[in-house]
Amino acid sequence: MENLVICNGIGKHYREFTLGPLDLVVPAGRILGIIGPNGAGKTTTLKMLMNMVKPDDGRIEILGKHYPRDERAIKNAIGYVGEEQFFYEDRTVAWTGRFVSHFFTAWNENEFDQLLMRFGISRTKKVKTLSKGMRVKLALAVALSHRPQLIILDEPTSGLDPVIRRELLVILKERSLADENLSIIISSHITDDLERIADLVYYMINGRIVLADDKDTLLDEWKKLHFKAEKADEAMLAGLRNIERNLFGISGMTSQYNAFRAAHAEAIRAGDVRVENVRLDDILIALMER
Amino acid sequence: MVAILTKDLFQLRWLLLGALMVLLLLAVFLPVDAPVVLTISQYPVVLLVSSVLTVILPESREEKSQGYAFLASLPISRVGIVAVKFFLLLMVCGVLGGFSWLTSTIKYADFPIHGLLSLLVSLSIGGALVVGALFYTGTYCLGLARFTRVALVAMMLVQVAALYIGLQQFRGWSEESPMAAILENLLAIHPGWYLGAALAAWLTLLGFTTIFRKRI
Repeated sequence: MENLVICNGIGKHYREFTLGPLDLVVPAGRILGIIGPNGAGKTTTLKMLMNMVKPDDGRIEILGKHYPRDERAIKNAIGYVGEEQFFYEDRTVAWTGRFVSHFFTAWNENEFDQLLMRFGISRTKKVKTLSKGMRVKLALAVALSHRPQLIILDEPTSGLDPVIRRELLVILKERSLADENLSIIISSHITDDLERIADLVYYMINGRIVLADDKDTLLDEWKKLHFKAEKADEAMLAGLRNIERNLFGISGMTSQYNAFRAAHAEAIRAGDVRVENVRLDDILIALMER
Repeated sequence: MVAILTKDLFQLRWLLLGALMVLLLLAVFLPVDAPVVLTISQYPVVLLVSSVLTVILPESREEKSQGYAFLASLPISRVGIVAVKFFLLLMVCGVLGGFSWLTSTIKYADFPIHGLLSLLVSLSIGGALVVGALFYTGTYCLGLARFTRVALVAMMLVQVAALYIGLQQFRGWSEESPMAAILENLLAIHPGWYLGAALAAWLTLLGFTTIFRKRI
């Protein structure tokens, strides 16, 4: 499978924060979710992919091209929705579409109109009169109307109500299914959203990628285990994270459930160990408490 | 490129029309026998004010609506954006300078003032383009905030030097006036103190604005 994005050791140094070195690979046709707490470096990473922030170290390759030489060609193939949506406030939605159409070689005016209709955005409205949700939808309409090969979304659902959030995710999923080569990178601290659509998940904490894997593998391997106090021995608890002891027994998180199951199949079968599925945010909390 | 140019030109349409109108009114209503100083000062003022506004108005609009953040997400390089902005200034200077030169040539072709007027128009346009080039290159390399600080320091140094030279010139003309004693005292101060005072004022202002910004 072809890799659309390859980042080798990219980093950025600020006075009080160092990002990276990061290695990031996004295969064609996959949806990559970047999860991390606020201030982890997600936005800076995505801005480096857009050349809005210049990395101090490392190398970024997108579609086999490099910044700054191929900036126009790279951005021509990217649909970007930032954390905040910037447009010319005094201009109308229709004007914004016309303005943007000059920059993208594959701009499709019909598609833009259809997306506006679907999102319920009036072409004659001025951008400054749009609500936060509508602005995100407009940004998404702009990002999708030039048939991008890569869509980068930086916290697009934060601050949106659940109905609009769900709608955005449905649109992204539809696009991903319709175009098997389309890759999407989406950062969020709302892990529910990523659980719905991501194929790959990267966990980012304090400027580093601390865990990267297939979402299904992660959810398959990471489990919360509850032991009866008298049945838990050292061998069972070895390698567990976030161990808690209380009146009801001992619990902890494993990142290698299949290995644990193979080693302690009897205990699981006998009910000495209860296995609980975890969500992506449970893994984030476990990683942060490590 | 064309889209940015069209957008900025649309924004500047009233400024351009106004400047052309003023130049036309000067050509029609300023008498040919008006004082030379009055005649030659009008064209440079119109050209310089128009060209400065040509830079400032689109920049303030971009700053206000975070236009550069929007443009950064589109397939255009930073060099491309700077090139378009400078090309816009070049166009405006070309149109207004050409119109000034044409109207003044038609009106003053047979008068000795014509040569001086043409020179001043050319100098105004040239000056505007040099300042524009410095501004756009500076903001491209340093960013608007840092470039503004550097430019303010440079302007302050130039103004201090101009003030000192001006005072020395003035001393020669006003030995008999009550100002003479004040001037003598002012000129007795070492130039370094002027520079030091100006730098201190600038640093105070910078510190104040930084603290103020942090509080916001």
